[in-house]
Amino acid sequence: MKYINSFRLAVVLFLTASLLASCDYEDVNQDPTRPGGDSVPIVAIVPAMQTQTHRNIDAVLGRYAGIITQQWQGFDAQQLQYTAYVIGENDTDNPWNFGLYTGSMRDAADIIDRATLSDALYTRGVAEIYMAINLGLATNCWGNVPYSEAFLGEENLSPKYDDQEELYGVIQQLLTKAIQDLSGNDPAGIQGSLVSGSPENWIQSAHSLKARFYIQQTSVNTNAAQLALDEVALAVKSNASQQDFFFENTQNGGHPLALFGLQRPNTMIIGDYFANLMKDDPRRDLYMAPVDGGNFVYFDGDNPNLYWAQLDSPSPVISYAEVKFIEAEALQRTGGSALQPLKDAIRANMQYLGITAAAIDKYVATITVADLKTIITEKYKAMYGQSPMQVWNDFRRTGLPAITPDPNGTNGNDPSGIIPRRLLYPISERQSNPDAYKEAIDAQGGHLLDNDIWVFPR
Amino acid sequence: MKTNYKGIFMVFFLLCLQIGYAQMKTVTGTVSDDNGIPLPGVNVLLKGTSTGTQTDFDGNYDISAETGQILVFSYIGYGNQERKVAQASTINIQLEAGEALEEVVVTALGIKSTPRSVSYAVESVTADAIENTGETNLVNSLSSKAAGVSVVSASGSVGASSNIRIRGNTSIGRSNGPLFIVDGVPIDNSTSGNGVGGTDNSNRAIDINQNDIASMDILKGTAAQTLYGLRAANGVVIITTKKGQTGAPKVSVSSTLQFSEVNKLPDLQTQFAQGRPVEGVSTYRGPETAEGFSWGPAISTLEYDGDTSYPYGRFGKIVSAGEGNGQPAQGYDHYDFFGTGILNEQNVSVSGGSEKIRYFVSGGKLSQTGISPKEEFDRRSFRADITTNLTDKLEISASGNYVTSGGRRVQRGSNVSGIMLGLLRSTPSFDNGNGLDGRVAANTPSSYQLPDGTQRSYRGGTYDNPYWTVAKNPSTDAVKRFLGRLSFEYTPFDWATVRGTLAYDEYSDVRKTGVDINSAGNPQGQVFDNSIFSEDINSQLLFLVDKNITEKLTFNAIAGYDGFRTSFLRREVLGNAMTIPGFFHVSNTASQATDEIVDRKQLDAFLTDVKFGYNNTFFLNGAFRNDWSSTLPEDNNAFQSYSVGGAIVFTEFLKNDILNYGKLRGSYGKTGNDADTFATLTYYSAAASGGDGFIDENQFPIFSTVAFERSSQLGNANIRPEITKEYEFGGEFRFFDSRVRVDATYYNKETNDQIINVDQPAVTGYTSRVVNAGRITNKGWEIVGSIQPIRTDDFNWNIDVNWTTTENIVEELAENVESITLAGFTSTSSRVIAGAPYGALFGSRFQRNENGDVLIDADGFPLPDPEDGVIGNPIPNWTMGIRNSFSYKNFSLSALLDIRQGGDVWCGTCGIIDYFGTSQKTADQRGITDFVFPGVSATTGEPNTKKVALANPANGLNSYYWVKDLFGGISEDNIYESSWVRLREASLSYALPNSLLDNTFLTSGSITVSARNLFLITDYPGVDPETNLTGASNGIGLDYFNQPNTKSYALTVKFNF
Repeated sequence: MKYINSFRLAVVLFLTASLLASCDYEDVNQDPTRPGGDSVPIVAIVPAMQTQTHRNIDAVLGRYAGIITQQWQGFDAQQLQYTAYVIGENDTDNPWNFGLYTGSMRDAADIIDRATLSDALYTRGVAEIYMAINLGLATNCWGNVPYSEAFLGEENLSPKYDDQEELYGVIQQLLTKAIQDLSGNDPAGIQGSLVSGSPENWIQSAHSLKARFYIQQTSVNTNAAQLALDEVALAVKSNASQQDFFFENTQNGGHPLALFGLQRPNTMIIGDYFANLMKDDPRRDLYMAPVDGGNFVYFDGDNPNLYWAQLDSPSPVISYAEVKFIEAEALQRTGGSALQPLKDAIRANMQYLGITAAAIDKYVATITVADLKTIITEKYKAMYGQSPMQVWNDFRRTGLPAITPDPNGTNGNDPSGIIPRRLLYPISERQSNPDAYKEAIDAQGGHLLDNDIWVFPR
Repeated sequence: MKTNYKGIFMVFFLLCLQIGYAQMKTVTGTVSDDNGIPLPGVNVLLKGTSTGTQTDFDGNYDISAETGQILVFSYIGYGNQERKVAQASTINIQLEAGEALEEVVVTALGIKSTPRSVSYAVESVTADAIENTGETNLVNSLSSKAAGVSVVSASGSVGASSNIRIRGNTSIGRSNGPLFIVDGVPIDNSTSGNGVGGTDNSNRAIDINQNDIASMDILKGTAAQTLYGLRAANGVVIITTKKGQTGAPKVSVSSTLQFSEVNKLPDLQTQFAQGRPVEGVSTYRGPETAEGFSWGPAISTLEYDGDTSYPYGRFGKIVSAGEGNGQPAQGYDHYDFFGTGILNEQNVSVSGGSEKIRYFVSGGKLSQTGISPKEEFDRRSFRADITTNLTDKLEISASGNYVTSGGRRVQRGSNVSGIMLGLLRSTPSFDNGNGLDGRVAANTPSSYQLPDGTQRSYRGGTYDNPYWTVAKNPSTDAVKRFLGRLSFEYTPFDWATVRGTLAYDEYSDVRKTGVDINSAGNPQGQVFDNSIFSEDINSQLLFLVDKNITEKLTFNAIAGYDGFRTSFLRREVLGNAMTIPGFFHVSNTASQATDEIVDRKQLDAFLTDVKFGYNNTFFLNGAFRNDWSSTLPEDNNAFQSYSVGGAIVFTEFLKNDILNYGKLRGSYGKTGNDADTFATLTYYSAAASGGDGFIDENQFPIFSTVAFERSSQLGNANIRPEITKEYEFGGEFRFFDSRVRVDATYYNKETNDQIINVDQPAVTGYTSRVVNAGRITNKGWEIVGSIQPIRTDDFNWNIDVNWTTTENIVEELAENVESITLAGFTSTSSRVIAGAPYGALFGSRFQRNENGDVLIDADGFPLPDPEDGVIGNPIPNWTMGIRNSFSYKNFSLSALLDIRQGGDVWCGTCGIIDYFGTSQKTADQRGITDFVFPGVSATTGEPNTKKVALANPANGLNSYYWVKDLFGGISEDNIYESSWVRLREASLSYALPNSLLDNTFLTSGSITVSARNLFLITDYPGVDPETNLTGASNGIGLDYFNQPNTKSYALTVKFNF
């Protein structure tokens, strides 16, 4: 009988306990390894935005731009396919989704919202600069892209694509806004930035970027060169005031070009055109190394000289050299004297890379004309590694340098086989934002690699 | 450790021996049929207990019983007989055929029912059927054994996981695997880590020692599963373990030795050397160029230069004929990498008991080496199960099972360290083993390493030499698992029982992956530590009633509580950049990244079930369960499952000479399912800069800085439970004294309002959100049949057949959600797509006109479509298992044929080896200059007539058909039907005759030779198409450098005393 009583008791307790237990699960369904948004301060989001942005510059979009402009070429596998312009809707998904829109641009939008609430003007200014850089990358690749209806979560599940012409306006507005914000008063200072620099440095960088986005419009805006020139006057003044993001010498924090070299060995090497072009250039050994079989590699784990292929290589917000190249081109286009700024640009680039003064002088002495061909070709050499997208942009608006299309470059993505003019919209947009996607394609007359985007007509 | 193990065992053994000598008498006898022919395998049970035995081949039995106890004799197709044990110690019985059918099936919550009363499909798999499978993984042992059950093993790697599905897939986001129940308690059968790269990891059911299993019953439909609630949404596998029976201790010892070898590999060429066209001529390009192609000159036109200092080959560098020392260059068969895997398994069990206590204790040790060098899997299992009758009315039982399992895994899949990736891409002109092969090469550094410590591989370390990867990239796992159960059963009245169970399933899984310096995957070296801790607690309290209301009307009822708590913790440390080669410890890495993942949930449920039977002819039942789940929004976290069913044994009133048993049944059920954990909120997590599928993320904390960013998944605080509804009809028919049996079932299942993570445009700031959406239907037929063509004294022949057809369609997804990726690559993946079969293969394809003709470009080659689409259906049209068993005197022979019709598999491997020119196909076809692709001209619409060269060196490598489009070709080109016919199992057993045993201490013994996958007939060009890159995940039909499958031969010896 003793058993029975205790069992009855146990049963009653068991049932009571179980009914009580089923009332409250609140804590159980909260992930203890991840914070909610309210507890994350702005200072913790800024590094994410910056790292993702500088990664975007030299990761997959940078590689496409570099392969298309023949600074690199595929040596194996997918990179070989990209070299023959087989770059499809699948190949753009990752950078669009996680590089840009749900990557750095999400972070920038989040910071702008939060900074607005907390009056963190300086930090908002920096986020606006980064938003402009990323939106620039997006529209350089795809023409019309969503912005005005983007980042609204569930409130708008099918954001429309804005016209590229409007987007160029938006980018300038973002930078103007950034300059205003950074010119204001913010006792909290710039929060969380991994890139050092005073508000004044950022203002210079913002002006430099404005110049970059104006010069990109030379084919569609007769005023572009002058507008760029106006910004150059307020832009970065020297290599010393150039703002760089530094990756670190670990694989986890490594530069995307070095990571690609390490993790995808021998799949991408220096393009033949570029290797030939650099044959007598003092920068050659900083860009490439010869290997058996006559090729040059851009990465070699044992070669510390390869400037852009170290785990801790830098990534400029925008370089002083680029500003000078923009100045040279703008002067050339407006009838001014471009030779000195061109020489300054080359010199700045070589000094930045650590070329000896003698070698610089020797090289610069060979530059005697500052026509568009020389300017863009020299810019092509100087911009290697630091911003491949700008090299592709320059090619698309000037046709320089005069590279020839890959002989096997005709395919479904590039029916005419020309050097690509844009990238295809990603498959995720086709599948999850179909109406806006179709509208954007119709508005631009297609989205294959041989379709022009508004800013770079042929 | 080893001695301890033995010591514990001995203590138990002695303890049990003591208990075993209670006062009992042994009853012996012979059971025969109405013609006097002895019946083997007749169940002899002590009434009211679970103690029993079976007759041997000669119809003899012996059982310990007390005077006054009742023996129940039962045999399929024969009426039961009962006899009271009196003075006589011999009881001979004649059973009469066809009178009653008192088989027992185990249904939900371990309730034993007569098959006639069950209103849904239940299929039993006996211990015999899983005993000689030669499979380490319990799940694999179920292959082709039951209708509606599909099993696909990931690969032939030792310890690889297996994907099991009952009636297809229903869920998009969560596991579609069934619930595994051992002795009434759910166990964890999860897997962790089967991605497109890495190693094949185990599913945790591999921890179950198959020698401990007495029987398995498979519940397939929603109605059958109602009492288990949402965790059983994908079916239930009920495992009943062996138990002790009252009587003297029985010791059973078995030992197995098995040899495995690779069963199918893609054809590789050995005619053409490494190289590519250079200025229009196929040119040899050696390992030092780091180039990967085998589009070079014929090997017969090359010779060695005899330079012994050449690091890549012992005969020197390869040069054109006439430029070297005259020794002709050689084409190598890389498959000599694979050897024979050996499995060695020992099991011992002791069982017995007294009136009060019954026990079963077992120990098992399995060690296995794979077909790849260095590949190992080990499992040790120790189990004790004790039941005690404290009083007449109260029984308590406890069981404990301690298992260690794990081994050394090999790299596979999309992974530059993968064995098959490096091996199949290796050019035939390079000798991976440098004169050695198999385990010898893997144990000899000079075969894979150059004197400077870098790697000796066909393309300068871009991919790992297969010998390098097995030697230098060790990946180990060590699981320690404890499964414990405590239960009581209190029977205050003979019609009422209270049963309570508390069970615990806990394991730790400690994994380490090392990538040595100079490996392709990470030349700086890498150490990855991954520790998993998992804990499940199940508790249950049930009230059971079993009462005859009148003589003809029976009533059964259950009511009770069921609770489940689970928590999971994974801690990871990734260390990069080693200094000391081969020392895989985090202290030897320059930088580290760490992570911690937690998962946890609680479920509580109230359940009830009632069943009426009338005259043993009409049966009606209904079940109801209410679940509360912690993963659902707090204010809406309850949901209900219910089912109703009925059965009629119509032969009770429609007697028939031919049809001796006929039953019709039908049931309907609705069940719910909860959400993924933590899906109701939007979180922030440690920032990781990604967006590039080729390189690792920059994972914070880095730069000595902390950073967080908003999750790409938008949480949803308004999700509702998802709903599955299913109805099924079936009939059971037995003809000619049950010598012919047919059981047919039709089922139709619809899952609505799935809680899924759907893609949303990334431009919204999130790439996915959790919603209730979608509709998936599963319908199909399951037919089980058996025939006994011959049944005589000495010779028996049984044919068992099961046949399954399933249609598994995704009817709808959410608005603007065209597809959801289950697994795979950006180029080819397994997805759910509205209007397509579940898991549909999606990828690149050719452009076609309205008639489906491929469009051919002006250059004569098919035009790739810039938009990807559905290219294959991985779900087979039907599958079939046919078992033939013969027994002649002491011999029994059994063969299980497995037939699969349809079901596409993407042979990603094939596309890549064509691309690199290592496949036999490219050797055969590279010279073709007049190939006309079938299709129509893209410009004129006329049938294509243009002749093209498939690989013309004059036009450069990028003009070659297999190279020109995508890396690995157009996905559509590599979709193959996986139809197969295989001899899955075959075994021949010899039971030692009494004449031999009489003078020994043995009571019985047997010797069995068995084989697995003895033959395989299929048109699939890759490895064995029973393969899946992502193992036991929802994505199916993907083969990208999967490890090959194996065939094996085994010898098993068993003794009982």
